[in-house]
Amino acid sequence: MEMNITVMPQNAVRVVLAGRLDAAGAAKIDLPLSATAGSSRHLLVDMSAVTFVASIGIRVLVLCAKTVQRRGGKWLLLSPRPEVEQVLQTIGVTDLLPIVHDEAEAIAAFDG
Amino acid sequence: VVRLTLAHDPAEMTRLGAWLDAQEHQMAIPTRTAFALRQCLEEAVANLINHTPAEAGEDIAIELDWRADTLVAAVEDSAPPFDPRTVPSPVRPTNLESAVPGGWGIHLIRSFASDIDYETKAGRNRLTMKFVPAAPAADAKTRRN
Repeated sequence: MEMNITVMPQNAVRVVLAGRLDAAGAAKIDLPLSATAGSSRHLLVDMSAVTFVASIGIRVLVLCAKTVQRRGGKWLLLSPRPEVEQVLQTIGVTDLLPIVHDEAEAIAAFDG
Repeated sequence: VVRLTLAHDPAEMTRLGAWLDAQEHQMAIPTRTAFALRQCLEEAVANLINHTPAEAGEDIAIELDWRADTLVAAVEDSAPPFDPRTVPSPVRPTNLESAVPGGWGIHLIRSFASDIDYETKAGRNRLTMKFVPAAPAADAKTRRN
């Protein structure tokens, strides 16, 4: 699992995750993602290169999303693959971790 | 039947991942079946490692086998018996603030496996998960034999 961060307008950041968000992947991104969630207003988490998510990985996403929301920011997932989205839907977290399909949609949501 | 044994240690999840990579290829597991298998084994083994008392040695044993057109995965352990079929589905969280992450693994196993079975015999628990691949047209890879 790889994680890269790019700065966006409105004190937002785009976090690009790539690889498997399995137990090993979750352990790798837990600290850096938590730190980013604690220091940026809005987060757009690009899931398009994530090929797998285990519940332990979704746990990390939900806990970080809570941090962002508590500080008045918004957390969005960008373009998860269909099989990953199916896992999120099975658990029932797609309302908590809203999905957008391009950066413009995310910027509009951050504005609102 | 191929077999992997794992110690009761979170670091072993990396070995599980690498072993699954190899088996997907060697056993010619179709893409969508491989995804469901990985989902279920990750959740089952992580539950054991994270939520049961540590056992000495490589206590967790995983077996994988094709039986006709059904892929059968079994996970054995010596932890206190815990039948995943009896666990109620987690409550769907309605807002982020009240969402308590947890209880998702078993729900995923029940959703992604075609069928599950569980038995305890002579102090060993055995969770069996079956995966019936979709029709070949619906899947990217075809099975080699």
